[in-house]
Amino acid sequence: MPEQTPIPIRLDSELQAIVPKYLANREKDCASLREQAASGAFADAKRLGHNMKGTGGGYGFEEVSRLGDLIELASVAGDASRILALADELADYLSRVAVSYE
Amino acid sequence: MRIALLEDDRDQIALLRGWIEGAGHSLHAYERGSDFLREVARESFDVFLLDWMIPDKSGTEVLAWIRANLKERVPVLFVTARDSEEDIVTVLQSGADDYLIKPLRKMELLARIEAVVRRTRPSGGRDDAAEFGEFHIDAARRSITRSGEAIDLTQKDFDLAVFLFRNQGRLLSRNHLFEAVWGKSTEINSRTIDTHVSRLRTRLGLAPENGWRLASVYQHGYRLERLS
Repeated sequence: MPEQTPIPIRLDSELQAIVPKYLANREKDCASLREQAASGAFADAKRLGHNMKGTGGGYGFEEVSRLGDLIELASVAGDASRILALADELADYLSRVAVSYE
Repeated sequence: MRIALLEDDRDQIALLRGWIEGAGHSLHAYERGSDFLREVARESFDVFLLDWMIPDKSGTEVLAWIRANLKERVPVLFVTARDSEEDIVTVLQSGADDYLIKPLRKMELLARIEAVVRRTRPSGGRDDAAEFGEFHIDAARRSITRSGEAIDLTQKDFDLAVFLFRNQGRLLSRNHLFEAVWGKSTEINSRTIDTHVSRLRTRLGLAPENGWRLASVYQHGYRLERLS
């Protein structure tokens, strides 16, 4: 049973308008990554990982950047099972993140 | 400052727009290299921010085009998740002025933008008082004199004059002038700029016989030059 401990993230209030959409897009990415891993669309998965790596920390979600980096590496290696595992890890993180604003 | 961004990730664009416009600058974002190049060929900008991996043209291709084709040397900052030493060296040797690795940090990005503009245009500073030939402009007091004689200008004419003098020699597009003086969100007839420029030309005596030229460049904008 996966741990359900909330992950509190405190962000600048200036991000309040754009964070919900950002997190929603990352949830869509989880679904996309599972499809891409299943179909061998590693170039697409690499791109998603690359973009996550590039945006996560800027929004205040360093874990998204970390996972994005790993997804990109797994995609370059053509490792579908690793991509699936990372998609699960991302989904778990997103389900537990609890955002508040200063 | 007026900043052009080449970036295909809309989440990244939203983040940078908040930071950059929150700092008082204007941001024009383009998701395709072809759109970016079309705009920078006909508009003026103070800074370019380039991502590397763009679907139709890479950031390096766009950088090469900029350095080969634009008369003005606009500072370029690369903003990319590619972080190898080889990548950094390649881009800097190709003509970029700075290289930032994503994920970006807000204050660092803003500081580097200001630093690179400062390096590129050291004389275009934001000092409150400055001399431009026989003109003395004091932005804090909102006063302008010519050979010691005060010249009365409207608020917008003064702002326009300050902007033109601080960017002497640069070809500034109408949209750039418009944003700098009236702000990006203001709805205004573009002919208004022509009217204000014409009035400034008269009120300040910006004519060749006085050693100045405030020239209209067809389909581009205006350039204030001091004639030798």
